[in-house]
Amino acid sequence: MKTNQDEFADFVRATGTQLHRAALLLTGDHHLAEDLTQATYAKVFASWRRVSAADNPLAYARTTLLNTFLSHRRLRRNSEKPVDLTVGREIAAPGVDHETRLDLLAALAVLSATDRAVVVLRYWEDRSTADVAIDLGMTETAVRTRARRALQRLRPLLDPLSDRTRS
Amino acid sequence: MNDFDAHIGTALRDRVADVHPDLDRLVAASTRAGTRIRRRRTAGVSLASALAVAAVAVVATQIAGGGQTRSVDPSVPIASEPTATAVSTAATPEVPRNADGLAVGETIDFGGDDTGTVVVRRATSVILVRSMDSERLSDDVARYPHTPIVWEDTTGPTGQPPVTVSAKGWFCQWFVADEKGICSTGGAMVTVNWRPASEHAGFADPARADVPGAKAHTYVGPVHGDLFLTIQPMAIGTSQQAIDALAGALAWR
Repeated sequence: MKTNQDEFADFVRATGTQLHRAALLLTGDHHLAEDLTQATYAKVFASWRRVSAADNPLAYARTTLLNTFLSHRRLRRNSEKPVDLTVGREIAAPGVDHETRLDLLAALAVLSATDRAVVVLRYWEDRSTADVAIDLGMTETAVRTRARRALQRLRPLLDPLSDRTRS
Repeated sequence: MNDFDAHIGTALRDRVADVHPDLDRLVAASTRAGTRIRRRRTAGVSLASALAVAAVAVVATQIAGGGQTRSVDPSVPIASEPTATAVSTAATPEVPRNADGLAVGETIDFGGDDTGTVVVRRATSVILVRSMDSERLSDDVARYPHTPIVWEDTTGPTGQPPVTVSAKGWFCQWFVADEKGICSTGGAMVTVNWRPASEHAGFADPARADVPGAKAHTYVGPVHGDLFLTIQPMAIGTSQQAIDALAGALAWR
């Protein structure tokens, strides 16, 4: 019979890559992404009994990630410091266009935290406007407005991107 | 959705497609951090529980009396309260059941796959409970308002702390993996750490040993074997008297 810790470990192994990638897009920084992902799972673990009984634990974790990210300043003041994490463990695939990747993260960094969250949820996770509105606690109109504004800001920065992506 | 809108999604996915975090490391780190969050929650619950426990423990002590124990600090008078260490060797009679009806060996079901076992019970109502999950224990403590429950973290390398406390109204939780415990009584809350003797000289300097802003000094005990104890205030209301009293109530196993 699996213990709570075993179940939690299975959950992290199944969802950790997805949440970590979202965290990287949100923060634009490997260290902050590690911190954010760990802080998220720490909160999930602290309430694991309740989370594991929920219909969709991943949705809970994703919401926790977003809330933690959006209250980032508060997180940095928190005494709970993520420990012992480095970025040296990522595995880079051969042939990756690092210049393009840096451009994309740098471009995302010009957006506000909320706009970045909208872009990541809407275009990376491919969630509907209605779902994004629920996740971020705003109206669908606000989501559309923010998404449109974000893309307008990204377009001049990333215009060559579409050509590279197509090729 | 126009052309750029369509391609931004693809570009985002491509951007992170080769990012693979170390999941085992993430599990370990987040579990540790999550456990600390639980403990902080538990400490809050413990404080409230200790308030309820304190009065009963004092009354029970007066009724039952007790044996003697070794103090961690030779300068502090020997405590008159029996300790967990003394249970296995001293002749102090045990009471069949305490006010909460708990008996030695009794298993407390915290739900799920977690249980606690009453390891030691004294006439003074000192009871040790082993459990894997401090969160569940904190939930459960409310069911036993007359019992100072001491939690032993069985996930640690040794499974038990090197010290015991004769709990005159003190409520202690031991986190063996972190080599410390959190003890509370009334408005006082402290951390008890056992540290390697090699660090003892460094704690001789109050500037290093004392907690900034605290009104009570850190207690630094004498070296015992290869360890020594420190007791540091956690709560603002923790008095020097409370720290000294706990120092006198701790005993090495």
